[in-house]
Amino acid sequence: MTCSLKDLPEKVQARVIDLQGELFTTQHLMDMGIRNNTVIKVIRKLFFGSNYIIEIGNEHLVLRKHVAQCLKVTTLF
Amino acid sequence: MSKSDYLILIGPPNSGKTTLFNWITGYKKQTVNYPGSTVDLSFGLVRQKKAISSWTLVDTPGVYSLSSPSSEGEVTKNILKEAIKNKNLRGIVLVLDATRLKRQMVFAFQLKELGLPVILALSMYDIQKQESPFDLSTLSKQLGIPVCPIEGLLGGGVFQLLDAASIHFKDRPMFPASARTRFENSGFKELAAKRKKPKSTKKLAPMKTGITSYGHKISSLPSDILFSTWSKKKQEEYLKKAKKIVDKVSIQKATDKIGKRTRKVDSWLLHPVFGFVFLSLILFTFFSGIFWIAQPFMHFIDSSFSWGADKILNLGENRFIWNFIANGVLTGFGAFLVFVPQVFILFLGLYLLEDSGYLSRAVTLVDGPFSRIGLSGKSLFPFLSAFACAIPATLSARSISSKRERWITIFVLPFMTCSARLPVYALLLGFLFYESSAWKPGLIMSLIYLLSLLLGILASGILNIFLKSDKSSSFLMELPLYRRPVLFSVFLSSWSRTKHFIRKAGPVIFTFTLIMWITTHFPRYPDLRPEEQIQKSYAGQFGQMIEPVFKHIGGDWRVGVSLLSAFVAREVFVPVLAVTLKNTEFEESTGKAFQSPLTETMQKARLADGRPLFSTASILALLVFFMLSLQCLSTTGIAYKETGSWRFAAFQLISFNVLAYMGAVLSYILLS
Repeated sequence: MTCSLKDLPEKVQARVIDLQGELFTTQHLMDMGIRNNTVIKVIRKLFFGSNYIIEIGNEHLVLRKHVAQCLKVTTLF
Repeated sequence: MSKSDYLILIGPPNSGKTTLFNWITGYKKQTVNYPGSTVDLSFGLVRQKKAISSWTLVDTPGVYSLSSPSSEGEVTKNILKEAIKNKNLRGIVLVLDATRLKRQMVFAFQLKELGLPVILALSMYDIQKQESPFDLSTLSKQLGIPVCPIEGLLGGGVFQLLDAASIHFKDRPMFPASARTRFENSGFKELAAKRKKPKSTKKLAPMKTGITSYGHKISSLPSDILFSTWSKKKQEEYLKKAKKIVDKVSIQKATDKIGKRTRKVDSWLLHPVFGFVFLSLILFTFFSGIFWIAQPFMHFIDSSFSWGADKILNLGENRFIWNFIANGVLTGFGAFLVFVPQVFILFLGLYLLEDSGYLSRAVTLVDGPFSRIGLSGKSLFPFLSAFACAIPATLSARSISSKRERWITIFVLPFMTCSARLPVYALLLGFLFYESSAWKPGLIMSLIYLLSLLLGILASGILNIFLKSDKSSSFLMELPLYRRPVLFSVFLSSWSRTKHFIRKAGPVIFTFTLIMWITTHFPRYPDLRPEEQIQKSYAGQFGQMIEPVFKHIGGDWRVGVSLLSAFVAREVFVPVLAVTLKNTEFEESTGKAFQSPLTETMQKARLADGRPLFSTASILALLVFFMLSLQCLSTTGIAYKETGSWRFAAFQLISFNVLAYMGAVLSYILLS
């Protein structure tokens, strides 16, 4: 399944296939180590889904829903 | 700043730069606001084996790379550019978190590629070692720079780092000739050529000149290209390379024990419901602790100053000099210094929250609700800093990327209970709960803190309705591992901030106590009784002139004069009130001034008609006034500087103070 990270269900592993959005956001995402082929998982959605805690490797990051929308992912089975 | 050589600490946020800075300098730092900076840069002298070198260590705000488009990135780039331009860049210590090396190593590639002299300090190596130690010599070879492991908790590896820095940077030219070649091969030039704006090509011209005996002046290189944004492809390539290197140098497979522990704790602390319960409990304990932990220390300081003043007056109250020292200097300083333990505990708590890794969780939790009212989760940093002082808090709001969220944050910051208000609240609550157990004022104090936060949130909500929406708001943050705070660093940082607070307030307090003492003692009328003498003094006459304004909140001229003096600095209210009361209230039996603690003198103070000067209603009115007012003109100045708008600063100043006066009058009318 290919979707934006925003629509990825919790605890499902996925691979990043594209970074979209404004330069500021994509640069920030890349600075944080998120690039194409990064394996990613949504751990928890907070406060009515306004924030996402995600896992990359062994590390956890937190981002807002509209930043999650910039990440196109495909699920891993 | 002096032209001594700079050793610049650079690294991602939360990588341990400040801890390393404290270990190296012994916290002998000066803090400056770098022109156009987002947050503070710290400067300190490098101390190696008890000797102080001529190198100046510079601590910079955290950035993930020099391409970072954030304002913190600008500060780091500016200090680098300036050091290179002034030819005093000795070297760069890149501080990377060993537990996050795969992601952060890209920064090392970037600095290396630019030909900048760099060594790598691997912080939190003590944690990484438990999980999966690195083959450090292979890592150093792979990166082509010296690598030094640092144990932040105990300061291990700091001397080795300094030794490596002195060997590596000692005879190194400030910007080597090879840098130009590397610059040309790095792809930046190519990237610059592709740029549409002709501005960049114009800037390339000075590159032909500026060759010195030791290399190229970096000032002659176009800075926008030097630190320009990397292409997606390049960054991806480096991330891959970093992963490969870390896999190669890892001696054993990581067990991720510490990560698992952090995630287990997070399952509670970041729980959608329990997370907020824990947050409330932690903040409540923190703010009420400010009151009850400090209580014995405050009592000791208060009694010591009262005892000292009493002894001095016994030397001869009629001698002007003794009277001035006892009722002016000692009373004024005593009334202020008594609150220093609370200020220290406030800073200590803030640093402990930050150092343990919990603050990031708090920010994560509040971002959701905050974003609904026009704020960012990152507004919590300025909010909590504003509980210490609104000025650095206003500066730290620059880390909020959205202009709209930043402006709203700056606007509501004066609602937060800053440390200058702490002495005032402690005095007023001390009066309200005179001879009660300490937990009662402690509870009210934490409610005041909570209320100030709620007021800020309410004001943000109102502003959010009227301001246009902004699409640039974003929030992206990493959650650090929980770790034991470095107590050495936490204590030094807290003490340094407390000292700064005392130093800042000290001269103002001395000047004001001097002015108050002189204006309450002159002109002299030797034939009059002391209370009549005060009535006819300069302060008495001025106070009576402004008294009608303060009558509506239950005060007399003495309260009025003290309130007006608080516009210079809020904390001045306490010593000015102390000096005024000590010089206007006299014991009936002896006719001498009270030498009791200030709260006791307040209990005994009377209005001209014999009623008590302070009642529950008037104290609560004063509390409301201090909670809502914006008396600190430095905050207004910094708000103007940060927003670039006089209208913003003027509106903030006027609206807060009108609201404060109206709120205080209303409270007094309702409660009396």
